[in-house]
Amino acid sequence: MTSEEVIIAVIDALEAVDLRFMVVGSVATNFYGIPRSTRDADFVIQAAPPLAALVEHLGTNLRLSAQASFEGVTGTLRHRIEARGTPFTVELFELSDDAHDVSRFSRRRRVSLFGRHVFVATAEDTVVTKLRWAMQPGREKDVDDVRSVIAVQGDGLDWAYVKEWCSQHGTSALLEKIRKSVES
Amino acid sequence: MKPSTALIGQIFAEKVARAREMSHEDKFFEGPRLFDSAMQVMAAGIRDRYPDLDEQAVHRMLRTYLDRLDRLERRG
Repeated sequence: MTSEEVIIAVIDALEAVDLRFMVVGSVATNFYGIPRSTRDADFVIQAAPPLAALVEHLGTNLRLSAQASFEGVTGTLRHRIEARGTPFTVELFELSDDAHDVSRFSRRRRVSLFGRHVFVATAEDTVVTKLRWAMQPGREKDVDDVRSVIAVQGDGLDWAYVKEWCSQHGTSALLEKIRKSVES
Repeated sequence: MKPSTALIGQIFAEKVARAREMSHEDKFFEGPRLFDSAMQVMAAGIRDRYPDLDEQAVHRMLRTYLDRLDRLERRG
């Protein structure tokens, strides 16, 4: 399978089991910024997945890991999907009760892609989340991602919203540093 | 020779302009497509270096290389 086919198959399976979702992570960043290579696609799902039904709809080329693991920043559960014939993976993060996680899910944007309705986190929420991740060690890529989204979106971003969340997350200084680097 | 700051800025500006012109679908899939291309090149390199490996072994080695790259990236 190609990575593209993997993503479409997962979206179709989530729709089939009626599980609300949004695309986040590097695929969402690419959607708003300068696209770069990525080896995984991340989704936030509204609730714990109905495992048996999801496995059935994923088909024989996609394998859902038997065990979920914990994600580091919000502490939510993560389910991993591997595909036959490609190292490309998909991760499903259960929606946590973290305030920003809840906010970004409620603001998710519906876009028409490849004949489907796909929900993607907004550009603002992508920036806020990536800045939060960038505070973790070894996450330099996230700084580049934020820079690319800010550069491509220009004045189109809702800065009041971004600044409010950055203030709560303690990422305001990093945001300003990146904004200045884009302006120069 | 190290590229000048002006050149780096110009390349970045060109990437921004190109991204703004891309369709939604292309932007959505560009990252995975780039990854697939990189994997094809890496797999070809493995086959060239180890011609006796079957496809399953090539893919196992590919995953090992990727995991190693991830570890290196996380280390910074």
